[in-house]
Amino acid sequence: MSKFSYYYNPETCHYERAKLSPGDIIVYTIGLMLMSVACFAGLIFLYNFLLETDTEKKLRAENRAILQYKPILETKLALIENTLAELDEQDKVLYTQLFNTTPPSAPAAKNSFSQEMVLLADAVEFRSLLDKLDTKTTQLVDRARYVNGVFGEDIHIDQEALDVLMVMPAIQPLQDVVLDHFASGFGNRINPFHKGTYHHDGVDYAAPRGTVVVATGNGTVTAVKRSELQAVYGNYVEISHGHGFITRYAHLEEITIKAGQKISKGMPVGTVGSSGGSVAPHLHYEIIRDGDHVDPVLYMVENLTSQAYSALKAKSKKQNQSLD
Amino acid sequence: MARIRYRYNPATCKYEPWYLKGKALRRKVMTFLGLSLVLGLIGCYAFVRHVGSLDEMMLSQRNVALKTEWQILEERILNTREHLDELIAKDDHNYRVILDSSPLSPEIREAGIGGSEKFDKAPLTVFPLIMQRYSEIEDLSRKVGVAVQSFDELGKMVKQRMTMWASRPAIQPISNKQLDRLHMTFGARFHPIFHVYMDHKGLDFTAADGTPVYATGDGKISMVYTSDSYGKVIFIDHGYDYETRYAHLSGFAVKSGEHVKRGQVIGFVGNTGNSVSSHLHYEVLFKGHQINPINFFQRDLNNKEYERLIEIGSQQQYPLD
Repeated sequence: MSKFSYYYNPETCHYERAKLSPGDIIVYTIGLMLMSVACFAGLIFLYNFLLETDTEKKLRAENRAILQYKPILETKLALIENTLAELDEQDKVLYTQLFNTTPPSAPAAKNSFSQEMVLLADAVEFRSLLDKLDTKTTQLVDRARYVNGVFGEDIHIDQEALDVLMVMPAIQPLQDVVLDHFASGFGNRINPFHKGTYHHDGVDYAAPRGTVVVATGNGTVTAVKRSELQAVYGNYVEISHGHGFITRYAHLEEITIKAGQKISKGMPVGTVGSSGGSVAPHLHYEIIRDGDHVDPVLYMVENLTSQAYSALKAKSKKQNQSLD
Repeated sequence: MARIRYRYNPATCKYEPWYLKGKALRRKVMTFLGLSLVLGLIGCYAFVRHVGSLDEMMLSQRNVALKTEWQILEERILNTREHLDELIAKDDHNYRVILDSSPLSPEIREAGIGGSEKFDKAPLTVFPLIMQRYSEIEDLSRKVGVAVQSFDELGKMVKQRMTMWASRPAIQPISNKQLDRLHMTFGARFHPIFHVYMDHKGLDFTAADGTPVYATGDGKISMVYTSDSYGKVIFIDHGYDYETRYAHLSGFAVKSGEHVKRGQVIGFVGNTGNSVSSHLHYEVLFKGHQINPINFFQRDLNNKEYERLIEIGSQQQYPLD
């Protein structure tokens, strides 16, 4: 039998040699491809099914572990979170009971970017204010020079005003003051004993016993009183700074200075205690200017950034319960 | 339709129809399959070589998804820790300072009761990630346990303190409105009846007969009686070493053993005992010794505030019990 195939062509009535047509090749190739793909798929499947690499083993185990432990940890965490939420409630109750005011609301979620923006905005406003002030001051000084020149006088700085500035009790009465220590401000506050409103003549710093209390300005110790009475000031120190400034440090535990002693700003005078009419270890600090009690916060301008000062001032305005 | 193939048969000198069958067919099929298999293998090899295992791909995809979820958990742990630290800071630095108690030592803070359920953590050693978070959560729950105990303790302390503050004599026993005169003398003074200098151990509030007398702090009426010197007198035991006495009354509004609140009416001003005119003699005692009562009421309290306090006292309730 010959190797060649023939087709019968009815038109020419001849047997013609069969040639490999492009269509045949395409059909064959497509078939081959399909079959190859089928083989490929089968082989890949077999490969995956039969063979397990180390990486696979590790990944599989890890995934399983995560799936297994995540719910366990989540349950435990949820329990902790619930307990913490309960503690938050307790915290609120404690705060209200102790300070007779609602606790400060939690600060909104920190957003450093927006905070920065606020700071920058603040700075811009502040700077423009400073610029205005600077221009105004220069104008005023020029004007004063002119006026003085007209009257033939030299301009001079008021020495007394400078002296007042020097003796002014301008720092806070505690070393390392934390804003948290500031417990109650000047003005009408709730008395912790009878819960009535009364005028609180000073500011209260709640601090642990033994915290060092310092003199807020140069001066002379005019009174050192010790008292066992569980009312009024208890152990207290009074310092006269001159120019009508007197400061008082009350409810002290220990007093480390003597009456008549000269004292400089920042020098320790004693330690925080709870003597006298006090409900908690705290320092009651008063500034008396020309015989009247003044709000000490208004004088605490030294060593404080404007931000810290604003925070302190805001805290001192809070209508809460005093500690004595 | 498939055309019929013919092949020339030299034996018969004829074109005979020819079909693919038998050996030829088998050979053709085998070639086809073999080729496919070879191509498939080449493809497979290339795939494994360049892409890797399909399972591995799927697994690592799942792994990434799971780890993302895990990160959310980690964030929660972090937030919880911060939250707890905040509460601990409040506890130690605010409340314990105010309540005159030292902060809990780190040892106490750290050493809590172990996790309630013992869990087999041996298989976890392979996964430091999970292991670490697991012990973190256990640590957290220990600390939270300590914090809960500490807050309970704080709550008890506050309750005690509030009782103590409420018990301290802190107001004037007579309303300013009804007060005619306050004798500020405490100590030696000339006695109006005996006409000799005697130690006067209280303050005298001159007021009209029948003016209500208020308890100056919460406490228990320890004595209600009539004595020769004091006349009709009430003793209130405030606890915490404090006692107050209200003498020369015209009448009583309370009985012995009764609990009174600050601002509650306990009796009425009179002129009984060694007294020359209707007034209230008020004493404050600390550890059995009379001390000057002037230190135990706010003189700068205005009338409105005072009335508000009396109002609170007249409401017979014990919010702290």
